[in-house]
Amino acid sequence: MIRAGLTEICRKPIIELPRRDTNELHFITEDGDDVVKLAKWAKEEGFYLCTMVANDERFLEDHVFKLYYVFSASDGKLVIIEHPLTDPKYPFNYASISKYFSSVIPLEKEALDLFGLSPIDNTMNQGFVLHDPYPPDLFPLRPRRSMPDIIKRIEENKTQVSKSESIPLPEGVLSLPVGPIHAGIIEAGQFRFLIAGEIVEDLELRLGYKHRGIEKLFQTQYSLEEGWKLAERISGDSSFAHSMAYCQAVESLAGMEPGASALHWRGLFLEMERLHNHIGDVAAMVHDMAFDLAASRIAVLREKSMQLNADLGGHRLLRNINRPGGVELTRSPNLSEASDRVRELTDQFLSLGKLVLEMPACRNRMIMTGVLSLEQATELGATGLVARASGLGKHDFRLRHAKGVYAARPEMLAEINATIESGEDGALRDSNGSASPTTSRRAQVLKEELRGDVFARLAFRIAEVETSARIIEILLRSLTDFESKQLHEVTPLVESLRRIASFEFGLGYVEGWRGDIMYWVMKGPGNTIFRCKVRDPSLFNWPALVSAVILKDQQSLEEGRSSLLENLLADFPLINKSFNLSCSGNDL
Amino acid sequence: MTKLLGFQGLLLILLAPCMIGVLRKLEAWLELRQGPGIFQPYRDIVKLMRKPAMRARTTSRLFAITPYVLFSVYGLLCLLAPVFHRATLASVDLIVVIYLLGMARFAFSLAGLDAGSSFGGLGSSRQMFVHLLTEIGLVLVIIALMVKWNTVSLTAIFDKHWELGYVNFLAEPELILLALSLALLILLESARIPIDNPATHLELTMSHKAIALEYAGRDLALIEWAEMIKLGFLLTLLGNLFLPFPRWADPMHSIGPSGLALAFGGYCAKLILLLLLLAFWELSQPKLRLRSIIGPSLVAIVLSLTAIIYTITLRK
Amino acid sequence: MKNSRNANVTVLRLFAEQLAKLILPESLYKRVSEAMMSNAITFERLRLPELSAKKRSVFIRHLDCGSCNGCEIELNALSNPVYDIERFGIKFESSPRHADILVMTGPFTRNLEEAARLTFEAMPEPRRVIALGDCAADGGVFKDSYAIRARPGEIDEAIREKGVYIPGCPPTPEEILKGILDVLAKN
Repeated sequence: MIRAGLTEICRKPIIELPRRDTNELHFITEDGDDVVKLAKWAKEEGFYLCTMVANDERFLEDHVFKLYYVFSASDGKLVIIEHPLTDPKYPFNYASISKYFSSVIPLEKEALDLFGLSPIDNTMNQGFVLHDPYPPDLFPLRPRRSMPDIIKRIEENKTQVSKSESIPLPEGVLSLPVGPIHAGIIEAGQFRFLIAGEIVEDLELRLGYKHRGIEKLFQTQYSLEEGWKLAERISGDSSFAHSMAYCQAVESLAGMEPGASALHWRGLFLEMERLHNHIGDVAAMVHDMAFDLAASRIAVLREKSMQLNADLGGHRLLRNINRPGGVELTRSPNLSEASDRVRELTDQFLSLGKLVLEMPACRNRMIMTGVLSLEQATELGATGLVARASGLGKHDFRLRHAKGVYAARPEMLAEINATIESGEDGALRDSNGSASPTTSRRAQVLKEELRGDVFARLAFRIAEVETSARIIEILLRSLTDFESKQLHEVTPLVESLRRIASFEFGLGYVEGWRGDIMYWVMKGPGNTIFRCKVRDPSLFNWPALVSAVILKDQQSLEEGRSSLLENLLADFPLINKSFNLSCSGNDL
Repeated sequence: MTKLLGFQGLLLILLAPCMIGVLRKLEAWLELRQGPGIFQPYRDIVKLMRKPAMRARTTSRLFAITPYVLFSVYGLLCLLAPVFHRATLASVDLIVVIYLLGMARFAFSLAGLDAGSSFGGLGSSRQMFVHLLTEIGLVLVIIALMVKWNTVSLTAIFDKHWELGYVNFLAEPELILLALSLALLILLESARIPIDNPATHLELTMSHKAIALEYAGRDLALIEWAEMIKLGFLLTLLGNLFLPFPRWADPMHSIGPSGLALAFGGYCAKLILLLLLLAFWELSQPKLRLRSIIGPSLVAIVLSLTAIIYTITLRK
Repeated sequence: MKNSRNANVTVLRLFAEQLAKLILPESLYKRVSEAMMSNAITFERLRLPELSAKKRSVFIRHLDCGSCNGCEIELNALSNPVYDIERFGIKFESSPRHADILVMTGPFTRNLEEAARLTFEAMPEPRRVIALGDCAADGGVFKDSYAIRARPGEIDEAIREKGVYIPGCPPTPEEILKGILDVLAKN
């Protein structure tokens, strides 16, 4: 279907390349206009943009820069569009698809800073991740620039051009810069509010403060086997999801899949990570509302889930478990005890969650605060829990592109489907006609609650905690029964990697607790990494946060509903917390 | 002896940090924490006193004197009000109380603007907003008391309420309305939950703390201490006005050591009861949205108005 | 209406649980809570006799210099009832002006250099600084990156002379508490 659609649209013939994974389709088109047309078509088809990878292949066979777009189609296929910039007039420019996929903009800004590539008809300013201390023509990700060379050029940099833009303010509007260093224990990033009184008129984000040059580090300091060490330190709260996505990318490159018990362990820890982060987020949101009676109790449960992480996986943030090819555990955990502990803490959590959802004053603060409408979420390409709470209920990579243990266990998918209350989710249940998982569920999100406000996100978190706990129990049970419950199940990849040609690439994608994480790893000579593009869900959701905070909905303004939808400055921390995005995942 | 008792407010000034310590301990306990000891506020104040008061280069003298203004205004209030004995330095009007509170808040808001930081201005505007709401309520409470007792003297009203005794007190519904109204206004005025969260780390939600962020060392110690004194004073006011001592105890007038001890003990018991109520209240309530603050202040205003109307109509 | 009643009942139940724990002897409390079918949260508070012995007042300010937010998670965990850092007289503060100790996390990125320096300078003397985590010690996994730079000399000196390095990726809350104790002992 996709193939036919693509060939029909393109002016020039589109070439399809074979992919080892059957759910990936790989096309090449050199024509910029075709890419834009493709994007228009993809938008109409309801595709979701996963990532755009810029790559400097000027010293490889094609001698050009290349862009790789990865789209997620609704039928479970991943469509990769490779776009070499062959036009000799514009070796550093490309036709932008931002008209149809605005989520590509942060990726384009990144490409500008790191590669010096920019859209043809768009003047973009540098400074997304490389701020004033960096010279403007650094482009550190171009492979010929070595690390010592780059450092030397930064240190010799004398240009004092400020990269931050200043916009003239309308009358009566005050600009309020907050950050990059904040008062609480949170990450560094700057919010510039334009306020009129207490009402937030506009919000401008300035991130990149935490840029650590991770993608260059992958290229120069890490081998394919070792890269997980860096991957799990990109965003600490998603340590496991990041390392899992990385490992999957390398495994997909090597053309293998880890053993069944390794897949079960991965699923287990991925859900454990979701559990402790969601509980922690709920605690933080309730604490922001200053309802500490519940917040402190939920914080205890978060601590308990992190202790459980340490007892099961050996690390409170679930680090040092994933390896390309499998998992490696240091000790044999007590699985049946873990099951009891999960059940107890979820039980307690759900009754506290219910309290928060029912408390009138809490509802007052959350309902219709920070609304991200369904249209906005679709338009901005928001992802993860944020998108789901805005009504994109099925936007979950565990459902869209089930992989590993999720593909093998349909009852887990049924649990995920049951997070939202509705009777018509038969689509995924037909493969396994077993008992409906909705029975005896304590927390579910009602369809009408998915308004995209703070309340919806909180309710969704609470419901997902129950979902995760149920999945964890399923996995713990099957791990106990497993005959080959190996703790060290790492299939060696060296051999198969050696057989793979250089400059092949592999995709790794995981639905972490914050949203989908996508890794695009291209192998270099030997076991080096030629390019590793990391895309954290935060990158797509920061713009969504901005539009949830500011009021740009002209229609509701005209209808006089503005007071209902505008947000006060004092509500921003709560809205921000309900998104809980990562700066470090965004800045890389 | 009576002359000496006039300085009983000093006791309140000295004990206010301990009172906050008790409040924090109670709240910690309800949050399943152990919490710091009840004398922790003293340790904090002493430590801050030893540190230099760093002031931003942009600030003027106004910024520098504000902590002293705050401290002396609230200290003066303590000295003027009866604490556990009716003897005071001078007989004071309730109106003076309101405007001393207003003056302190005005000075503090100016200091917030003076620092020139973005949060200071934000805090100032919020402070004035909240004060605007409380002032109306407080004036109405005073009018109600004036209509009821034909006086605005604090000591005189104390005496009237004490003479009334508990049984008769319950028979005066307007006084109960006024007690509720004043309790709400105290929450508003002292910037506690549900109006403001004194423990917050979120710079964008701060009101009082946004201004205090600019201060350091000695200045900060004075501001924190002044805030504690203020809460102590307000709770004392509420307790003494609307939780009068039982008539048989007669501690408010006694002079002998046993009488004074009884009076002080009773006062402490009242305070602890109020603190317990405050702790329960603060933990059972999330913070309100900034705009919804109008709600509680409106309730307070309506309560006082009802009390006024009730008193007037009943008298005729 | 029903929601609000449920919520009030739950709040009262939580209060009652706490009161019962305070008033009733332990054995009786257990029986009562079992009879009430309440799932009261029980946990063991971390015991640190060496830290609880002395009464003190310490204000801590956190400064993110490019961490992966793992250290932040553990710093936040210190405030939960299990670690309950406030019982030791240690408190997280919102302004560097109020701070006795600055806790730096992350490998020190170039983009944050200026902001970090300003924060450090806004802190009154004596400036005690804790470098938290492996990457604050030597850059950790980010060591060789172009985006990481050496800390300014004055900050480094403050760590060496009046502060400590707390290793770990991230260090556990218990290790952080012990590290803070080391700083206090050093001065």
